[in-house]
Amino acid sequence: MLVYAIWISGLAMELAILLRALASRMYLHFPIFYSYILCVFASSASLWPVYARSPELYHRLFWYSEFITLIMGYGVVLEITHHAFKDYPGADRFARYAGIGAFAAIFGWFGISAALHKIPMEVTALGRRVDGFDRDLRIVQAIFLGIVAVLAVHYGIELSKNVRGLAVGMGLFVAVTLVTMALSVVYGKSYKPVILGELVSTSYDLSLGVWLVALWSYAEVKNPPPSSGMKSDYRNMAERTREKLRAIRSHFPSVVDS
Amino acid sequence: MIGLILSLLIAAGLLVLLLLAARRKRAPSAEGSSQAVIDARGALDRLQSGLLPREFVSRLYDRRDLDFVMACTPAEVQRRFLAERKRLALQWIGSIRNEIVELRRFHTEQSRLHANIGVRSELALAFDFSSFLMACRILELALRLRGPYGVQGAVRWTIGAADRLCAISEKSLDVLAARVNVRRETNSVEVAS
Repeated sequence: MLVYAIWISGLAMELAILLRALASRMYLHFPIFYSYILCVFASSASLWPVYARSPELYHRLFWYSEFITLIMGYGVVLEITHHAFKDYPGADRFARYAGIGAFAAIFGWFGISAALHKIPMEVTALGRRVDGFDRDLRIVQAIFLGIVAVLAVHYGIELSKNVRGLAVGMGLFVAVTLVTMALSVVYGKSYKPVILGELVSTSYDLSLGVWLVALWSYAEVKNPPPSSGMKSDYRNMAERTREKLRAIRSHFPSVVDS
Repeated sequence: MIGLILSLLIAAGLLVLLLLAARRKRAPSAEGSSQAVIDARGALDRLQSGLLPREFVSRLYDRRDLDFVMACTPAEVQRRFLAERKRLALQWIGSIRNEIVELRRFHTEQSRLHANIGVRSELALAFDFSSFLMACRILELALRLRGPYGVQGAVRWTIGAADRLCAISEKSLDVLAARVNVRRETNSVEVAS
């Protein structure tokens, strides 16, 4: 019963996020995120009847939809990075290089492990091996998000309400899924407490709640940087020029009167 | 099991970092402008001419003063001398730390806007600033525990590291000041035309 309650609330919130995006035209600002939500909504809604009839078939299909949404999750992380650093080309470049480095390092390690037959990469196989693959992909996602957070803190970059919500919601979901997958890899199918399955769904619902609130309307950062130093210097200088002009103009009436 | 521990650490670290980043509020600043260069130049000048000159530092930590006071003055004066020197030394290290933090703030505010940022040099600088600030904290702790005359080796190392950071910041400031001047000239030409 609890499973269905969490499932329905998740679907309802996904629908609310999508409808709100249509009303506020937020999908123009975050197209990848809304594609991700649409994809999750479609797969959850279509898998529901399958779960009711055949849980075995559901688990088989679940991994395919999970893999697709996981890849789309990478797109969401890239969208977060793009929005967080759009006014900061230096930090953006740093994030790109660090992200590529982390990606290469983890998948390099993954490839070597696979070559040494430590982690088989058969995606069709169910159970621990797929959990391990999912866990490794979540680790890369977590590291990507971590890099964004570290750079935002290091460079003193203020994130907009939308980006903050996106990042925190995604981070919460990724962190809980990562821990669950890691537990599943270590203890296998024998370790399957009900609370673990519900924890992932509940954390996802919590993330949906964060996204619904944070993406209610478009928000810019409160203190954006000057697009370049030139802009702020130019404004100061233009203001000084205007003051001089006003001072010169104030002499004109007397000249005209005389 | 190592994978599980690593996953737990990554998950916890991610949540902490995201909360830190989300809580961060940035005050408006004059980045990229001549005011920012002036502020940073002020911090650099205070460091180079006020806090780091060797004669000042060697005088502050000179044992001859201590020897003289120990030999020629009563116990109460010796106690007060040591307490005063300790207070001065702590203030000195605190001031150095503040100015270095100011230089780091200036550097990060500038570099985040530059599309041609050097990732390796940024990492090296971040490491330099962090290790220096950590060394300042350790020195502060050592000063509290051992007093100003028990940490001379650490003081020499701190001055050397601060000198290196000043040299790097000075180069960056020269480049930036030149660019601000070019902008000013460009703007003057634009307004004049």
